Amino acid sequence: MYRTKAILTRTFILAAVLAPAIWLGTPAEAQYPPPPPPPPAQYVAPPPPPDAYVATTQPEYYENRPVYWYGGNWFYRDEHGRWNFYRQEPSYLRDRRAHWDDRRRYHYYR
Amino acid sequence: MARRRRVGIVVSALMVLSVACGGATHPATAPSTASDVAPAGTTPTDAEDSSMAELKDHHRHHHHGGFAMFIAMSLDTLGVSPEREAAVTKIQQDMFAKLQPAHDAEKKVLSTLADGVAAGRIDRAKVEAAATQVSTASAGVHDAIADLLNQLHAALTLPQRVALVDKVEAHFHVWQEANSDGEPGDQGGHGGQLAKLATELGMSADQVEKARASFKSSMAAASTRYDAGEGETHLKEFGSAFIGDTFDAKTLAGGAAANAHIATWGTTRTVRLYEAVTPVLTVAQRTALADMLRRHANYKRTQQAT
Repeated sequence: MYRTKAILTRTFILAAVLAPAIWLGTPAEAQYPPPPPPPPAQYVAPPPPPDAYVATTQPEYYENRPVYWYGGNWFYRDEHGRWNFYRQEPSYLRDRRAHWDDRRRYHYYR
Repeated sequence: MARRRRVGIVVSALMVLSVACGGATHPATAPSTASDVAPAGTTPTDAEDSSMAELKDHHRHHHHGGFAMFIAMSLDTLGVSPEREAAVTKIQQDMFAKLQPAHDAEKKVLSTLADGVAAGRIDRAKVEAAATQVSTASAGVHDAIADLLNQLHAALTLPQRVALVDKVEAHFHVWQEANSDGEPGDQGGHGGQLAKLATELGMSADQVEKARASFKSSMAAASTRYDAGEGETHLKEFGSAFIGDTFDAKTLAGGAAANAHIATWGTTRTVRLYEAVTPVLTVAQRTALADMLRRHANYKRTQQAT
C-alpha cells in the first residue's frame, strides 16, 4: 500500500515536471497559428528612362523596336507599352554603344 | 538523493532540448524576382542632366504649335538611317516653316515680356494681343502640316514610328509637368520654375514667397484652364494611327483644338508667371531676367546648345 502510494506520487511529480518541457519542445507552429510570412526581399528594379530623357536621346533599334540606354541598362517598351529591360546586354547593342558619338543626346538652345 | 539528482538531470536535459528545438524559427523566404521595371517617374533617381533640364526650360517658354511642335522636335533624336535622313530632315524643315507664324507670334510675346520686365511693368494688353495670335496660329498648324505628317509616316519604318510616338508622348508629359496648374515652386520635388528663377536671379526667400502668392492668385483668376484629358486623347488617337500601316493625318479630328489649347494655356501661364515675378525684383534682377527672356525669344529651332 505504502509502496503503491510512493509510485503514484513519483509518477505525478515526473509528469508535472515533464509536461512543460514537452510543451516547450513542441515546434512553435504546432502551438500557435503561424505568423504572417515576412515580406519578400525587396527587389529594386532599375528605374526606366524619364520622359525628358526619352525626348532628348537618340534610341538604338533592336529586335524591331527602339531601345534606350539608361542607367546601365537597355530599356524597351513591351507589347503592353510598359518599360522593360534586357537582363543581359545583347552583343549588338554593346557594339553599338562602343561607336556612339555626341549626337546621341540633344541640347536645346536656351 | 542519487535518484533525485538523476531526475533533475533528465528534466534539465529535456528543457535544454526544448529550447534547442527552437519551434519559433521559420525558413527564410527566397527573394522574389520582378519581371517588370518600376513605372517611369516613380523613383527618386530621375537624375536630371543638362540636356533634360534644357528641355524643361524650353517647354516652359515655347508652346506654339502644340503637338505639331512636339512632333517636329521628336525628329531631332529619332536616329533614322543615313538613307532616310535627308528625306526626314526635309520634312522637319518644312514643318518648321509651317510653324513659323506661330513661332513669330510667340517671339512677340516673349519680346514684349522682356521689355516689360526690364521696365518694371508688363503691358498686359499688348502681351495678350500677341498671345491671342499664338493661339490662332497654333490652331491652324494641324491642317498645315497634315500632308507632311503623311509624308513622314511613309518615310519611317515601324520601329521609327513607334519611337516617334514615344517621343511625342514624352515631350507632352514634360511640357505638362513644366506648365502644371499648380504653383511653380517645387513641383514633384524636382524644383519648379520659380525655384529655378530664384537660383538664377539670386532671389531672397521673401521675394520668392511674394511672387508665388501673386502667381497663385493670378492663375486662380485666369479664365482658361488646360484640359490634360484632351491632350491625352489626341495623343492616343495620333499614336495608334501613326503606328498603323496606313495613316492619314486629316482624319485626326482633335488636332487643331489640342494644338491651340496647349499654346493658349502655356502662353497664359508664362505671361502670368513673369507678371507675378517682375514687381518683386530689383533692377539688376529684372535686367538679368529680361536677357533670359530675349534669349528665349530669339531661339532658333535647329540651334543646339554648345
